[in-house]
Amino acid sequence: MKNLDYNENDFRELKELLKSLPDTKAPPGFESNLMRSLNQIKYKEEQPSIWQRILNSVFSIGATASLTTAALVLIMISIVNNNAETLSDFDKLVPYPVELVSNDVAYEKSNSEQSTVTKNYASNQSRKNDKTAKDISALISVNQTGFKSKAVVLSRSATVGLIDHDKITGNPDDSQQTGLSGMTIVYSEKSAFNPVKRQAVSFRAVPASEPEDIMIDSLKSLLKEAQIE
Amino acid sequence: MGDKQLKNFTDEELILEFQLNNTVKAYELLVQRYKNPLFNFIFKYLNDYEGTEDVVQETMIKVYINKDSYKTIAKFSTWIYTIASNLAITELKKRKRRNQISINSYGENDETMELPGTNHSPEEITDSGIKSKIIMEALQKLPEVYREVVILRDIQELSYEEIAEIKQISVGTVKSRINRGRTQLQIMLKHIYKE
Repeated sequence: MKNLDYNENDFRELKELLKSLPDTKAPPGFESNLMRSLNQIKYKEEQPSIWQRILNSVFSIGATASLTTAALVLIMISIVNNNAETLSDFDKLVPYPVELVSNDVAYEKSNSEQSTVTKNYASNQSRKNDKTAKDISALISVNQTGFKSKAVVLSRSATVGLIDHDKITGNPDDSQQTGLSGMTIVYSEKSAFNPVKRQAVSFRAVPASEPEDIMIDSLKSLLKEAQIE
Repeated sequence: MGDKQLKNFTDEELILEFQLNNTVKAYELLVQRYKNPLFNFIFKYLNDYEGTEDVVQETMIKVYINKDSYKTIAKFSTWIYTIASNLAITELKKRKRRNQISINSYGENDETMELPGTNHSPEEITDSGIKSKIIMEALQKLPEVYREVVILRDIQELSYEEIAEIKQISVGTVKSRINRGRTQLQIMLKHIYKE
């Protein structure tokens, strides 16, 4: 291994020559050029490729089409149901006298137009066990201007009833009169910042317990207060 | 983390800080520390300033993008020199394909060499600029495998162990290549350093 048996000093002069070469330095704007290149790379990474863009647009078209179809189906169902509803349907739905039950499930729903507080008095265990009871609720909404109200009844068979009221009659008594197995009463009030405030109660034609009756009474008084206002 | 504190960090601490906390300042300090040594190394290897700038910039970009591939068991300098060396070799291969430059073929057994500087008069050679040019010409005439290790050892002053790690070869092979390269350079530059 002759080549490995060399002495560093053999090349002392050569090494001095090599060391005498001037140092080459980076240009003054090297760092800024580098950072610009890095930013360009990052920007490119963030931008979706042409294929990604095509796929995204295809998916977005698909999603839009699906949503539109779903909306159309819902509108169609709604139209069909509205056409089917008659007041006489209510009587057919519930075969026995209506009593009210309570199940205090409250929820709040807000949107740009209204704040709704709904108390649902309809889903207790006895109702769930009552196979004969039809799942119907009535919606009676009262607006501040004249308390015109509506009652909408929905059943599992998608029967929809619509009643117009000149006053607040969408109370538990109404459900007895109409023979509804369930009802939701909504009353509304206006305020400066909250154009429509609604409160709703729904109930079904299953035996009510004593505390539930108390709750229903309080609901009635609430509705009456709304009517007075 | 303060700039002053970062400035006291070792290279390894800086890259770790960049890896763990994405501290760009730590990366910038590494760029500051290595831009000139890398420029010096790559320029001596390629003998082209523009190409050198591209290779060094690409090296720094690779450090930025692949920061997580750095393992703390290695020295940062070794890692960055490895990246730069690989990029410089790729650049030379590209040039060969484009026939932009003419250099001796790549390989340890290639003994062909030309004596540079034969057109320079002794008066010219005493001029340091001309001398540098002749040395650079001689370096470019060295086979690439020798040139790189000679630059790393005699100009960049890296240890044999570091060079072995950068080139992924044994220390013995490094020594052998350096010896052969020096011998060839000595022959090529005899007329200069005997002045």
